[in-house]
Amino acid sequence: MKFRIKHITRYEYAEPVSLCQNLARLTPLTNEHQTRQSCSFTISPAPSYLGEHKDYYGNLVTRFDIPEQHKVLEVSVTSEVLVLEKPQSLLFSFDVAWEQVRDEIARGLTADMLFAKEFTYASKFIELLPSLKEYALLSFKPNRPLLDATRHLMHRIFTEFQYDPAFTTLSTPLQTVIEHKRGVCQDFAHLAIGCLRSIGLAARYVSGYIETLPPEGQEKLEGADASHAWFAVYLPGSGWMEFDPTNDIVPGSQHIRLAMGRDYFDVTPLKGVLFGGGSNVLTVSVDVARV
Amino acid sequence: MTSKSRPEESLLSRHMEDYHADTKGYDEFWDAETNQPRAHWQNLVQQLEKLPESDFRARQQLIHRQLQEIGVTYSFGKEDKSRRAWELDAIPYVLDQHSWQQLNAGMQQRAKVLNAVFKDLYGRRELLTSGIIPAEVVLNSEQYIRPAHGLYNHIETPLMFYSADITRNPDGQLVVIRDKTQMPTGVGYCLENRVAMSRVMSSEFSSAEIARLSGFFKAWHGTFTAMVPHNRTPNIVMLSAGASDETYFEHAYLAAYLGYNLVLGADLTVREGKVWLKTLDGLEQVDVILRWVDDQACDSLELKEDAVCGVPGLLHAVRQGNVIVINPIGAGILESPGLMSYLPAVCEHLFDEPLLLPQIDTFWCGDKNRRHFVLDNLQNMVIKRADYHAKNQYPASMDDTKLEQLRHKITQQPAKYVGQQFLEFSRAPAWNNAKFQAKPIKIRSFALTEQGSYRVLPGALTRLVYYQQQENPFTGLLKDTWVLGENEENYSSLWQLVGEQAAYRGHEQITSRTAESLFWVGRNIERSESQVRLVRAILSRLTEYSPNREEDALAHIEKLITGLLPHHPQIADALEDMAEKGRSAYWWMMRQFVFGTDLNGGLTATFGFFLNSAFNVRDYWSGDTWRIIDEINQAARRIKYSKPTRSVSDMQELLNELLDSVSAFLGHAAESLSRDGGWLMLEAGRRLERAHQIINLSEILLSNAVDNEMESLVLDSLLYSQESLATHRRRYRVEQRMETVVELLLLNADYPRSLCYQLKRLKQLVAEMPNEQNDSRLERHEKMILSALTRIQLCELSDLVIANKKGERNNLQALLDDVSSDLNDLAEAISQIYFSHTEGAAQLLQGQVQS
Repeated sequence: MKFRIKHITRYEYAEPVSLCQNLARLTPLTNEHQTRQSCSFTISPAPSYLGEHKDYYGNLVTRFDIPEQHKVLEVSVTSEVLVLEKPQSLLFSFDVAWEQVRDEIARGLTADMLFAKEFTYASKFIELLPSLKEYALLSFKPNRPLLDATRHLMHRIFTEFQYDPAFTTLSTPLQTVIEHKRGVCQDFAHLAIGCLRSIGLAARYVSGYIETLPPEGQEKLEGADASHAWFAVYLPGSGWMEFDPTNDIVPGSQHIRLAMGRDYFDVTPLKGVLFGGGSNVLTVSVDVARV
Repeated sequence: MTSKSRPEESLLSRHMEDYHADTKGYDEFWDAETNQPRAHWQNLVQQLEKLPESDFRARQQLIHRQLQEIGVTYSFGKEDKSRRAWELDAIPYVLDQHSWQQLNAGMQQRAKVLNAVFKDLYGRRELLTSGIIPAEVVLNSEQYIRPAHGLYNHIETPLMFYSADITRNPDGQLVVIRDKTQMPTGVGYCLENRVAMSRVMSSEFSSAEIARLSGFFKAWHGTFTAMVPHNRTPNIVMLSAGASDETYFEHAYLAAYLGYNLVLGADLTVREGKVWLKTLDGLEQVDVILRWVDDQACDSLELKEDAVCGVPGLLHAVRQGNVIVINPIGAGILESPGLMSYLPAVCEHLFDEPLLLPQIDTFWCGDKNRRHFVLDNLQNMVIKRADYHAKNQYPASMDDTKLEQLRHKITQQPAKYVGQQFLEFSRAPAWNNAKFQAKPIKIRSFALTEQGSYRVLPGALTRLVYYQQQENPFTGLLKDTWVLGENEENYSSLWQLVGEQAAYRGHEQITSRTAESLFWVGRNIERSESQVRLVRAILSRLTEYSPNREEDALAHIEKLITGLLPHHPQIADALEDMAEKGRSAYWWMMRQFVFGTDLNGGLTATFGFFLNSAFNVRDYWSGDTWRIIDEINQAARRIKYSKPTRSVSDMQELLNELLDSVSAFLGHAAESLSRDGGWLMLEAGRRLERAHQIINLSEILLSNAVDNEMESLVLDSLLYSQESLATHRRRYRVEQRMETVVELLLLNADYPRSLCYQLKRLKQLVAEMPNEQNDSRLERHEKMILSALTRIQLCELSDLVIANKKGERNNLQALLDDVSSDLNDLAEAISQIYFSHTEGAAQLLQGQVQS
């Protein structure tokens, strides 16, 4: 399946901004799930400097500066991505018990294992609370296969938590999400990751997009798609297995991956430092279309 | 040394009893077996034996005064506990040749090992995959800066500086107790201590073979220069968090010594992946940054978001190879106690050799066996955070409940803790609270990379530790450290170096921030001076009774008081509220003004502004200039801390002292400051302020006409406060009249105290300021000063002195208002054009992912 994604981020400031310096993680990944065929940035006002580098996690980072006075910043990214179909059934044929995975990660010394190990620790947005462990253990019964238990955890989050964009913000702590059982995709991903890490498993955060289909008989609205987030768990020998707790599905051909890291902080799509600006209004529009 | 007529007991003979009171730890000085000082102290002991105690105390005083003069003990505002000054002990710490060789080799090796660890952790991470260091010690530490991974593979010795805290264990063996790898904090104090000691203890110094420090600092500069491959002189800056940082003095001292520009984060900006310094002449590219801010604070774009003392985008400039940051960003991980516990194994693994200098026994609790050892021996341990240095915990001094809580914490999150064997530090003699005492010490040693290996400073910063629990950086008593032995280095004075270094710096770069501070130094020194002069004028008026015209005289005094603080609500209210206006009430007010510390705009506050703006650019001043600034500080402090009830003559005396030191500063600044952009700004600030002061007083005193008898008094006050009585008498040879005074103080183009003269000077200064436009169009600040000067030059004296029927001199008033408004615009324009507008950077709002 091939998609064209148009992602526009627009800031309107009350006061002029004299200088802004930014980091964008808006270039889709190329990995075992997908191939990026093209990606182009249009930035207004035009940046005086535009550079690219790969970050610690292998994401492509775009670094740009705008030293010219401006009151509106618009970053528009258009990418084309070929998403590979993966046979779903294969994923659930693994019957390795989760404790075995936990112990293997704890002992492992290979470069791959070290990389996985980093995803077993607390991170900026994911504190390893006792309540997370409690919640996780209801799915992670002794000797249960890792993937089976993870799917169970995902399903419980999907059914027990309510999707509520009005309830949480970027800075809502996990404890609040768990107490009120409300949140958005980002919270659910953080929650699941926290659960897995609290019992010694390696879990990472994936940011990206999901194709949404309009209700039957209606036209799809432009800009109505959104950024999305889900998580992946590490299974030695097989790699990172993805799960989408917001939709209770194993990501397949409708998920497009932008970046991955320990949590949202590592993969923030657009961040920056600016001088001036005062209060600002942010609008984001995302379109995911099949081509 | 002066010989006394009456023999006096020496320091040592009188105080040895005190010394033997502390018997814990290894005694660096006294050998209990032979019952005499150890051999390497003998020379110093002989010197001290010859020294009467009074002489010794005098030297200690001299050291104190020197430190004060160079600004170590600087404090003016509220006594700030965090910046509490330290003292330097006249008794040095002496290190014998054998110990030095051990220290030297051990430091070199340890620096080499840590450099290799640094390269590995930010590169291949073979130490983790081989299991030599448990991955969690590094990967679960906030000190491991992931965005820095992969940045240092191509550099042989990225770890430019290494420092360590060292003591001796009870067996007398040197032991490393802590690694410092982000910045060589203390090396500046070390230098400064040596300079002070070599002055005060010069005879003791020359009688012993003491290793010199100058070679180390020469090598320092050589290493820095060699890092930048191109031919031009590299632009090296020192990045500091500024005057609020407790080690700011050290930054300023070292920057001045090495000839580097001392900058704050806001002085730098990243453009096109390069780092630039904001100077009066525009942006200049920076090659090397010696940073005195923590790893995480270096870059609010990629690292800690709320950090204000770094430079947004810095890490990317490093990534692009456009700037070198020293020590490299990420070096903080090497300081973690967790990592320290694996260092002996790392050294064996990488170099196949044991650590030459033993380290304090350190156990990371994330390892099961080590954890058990720590828990089993808790009473003999100091418990630390594994990843960074925080408050240590001392189980030996805990009650059972606390101990149980600690045990529980360690068991719950073992990887977060490290246990270190409690070590009794060695004792060295110190002159402490007028006693000769044995005190626990820590020695901080410094190493610097030079052509691929490390060079160790043949000296150290020795600190007296009052309680071992104490973690405060540099408070209390410091000691110079004397390394005995043959001196390999040729004689070269520490100060000789300064001249050489200064020559490295092509031309003086004045940062926009320095320019701004100097502008305010100029304004505040002038404001201080005119306030003092006006206060003196008021005091002299207060002492003259005029029985016939008492009411008018009092009205005049009230006007003068208003002149001290124009439009000041506190003064206005106080004057309003005075039930009985009379001399005693005005006396009270003047005392408030001079001695009161809570009056905004009062004398103490004005001097405080001056001193703070001067301290903000501490590195700009030469030693002599700073000494004079410190004299102003001392004079102002004497006023601040004297009783407000002092007599008029006492008050006059204090004010005169203050005025003398202000004059000394201005004279010295005019003589010695190079005529660069900084001087322009200081001078512009001064002239601008003086113009304002003349305008202000003229407005208050002259805009309403009074009868002849009163006018004479008013003009006399005005001339007196402007220090112009004598000039007026000489020039006009008549009793002061309105015409002559206005001519002299406002319109005369050649009299250095006139308004017209200030404007003329300002016009020259503005013309000398760097100008980007090359065409003949005037910039805003040039227009403003031209306008002000022209107004003065075009007006007619006769128009100005005329008053209307109500006695109002409207022409004069209008002229003063117009000039004043031009000058305000001028100040605003200078600020816009030349000063860096250091508004804080904000973070871009981030959207929530909302599906």
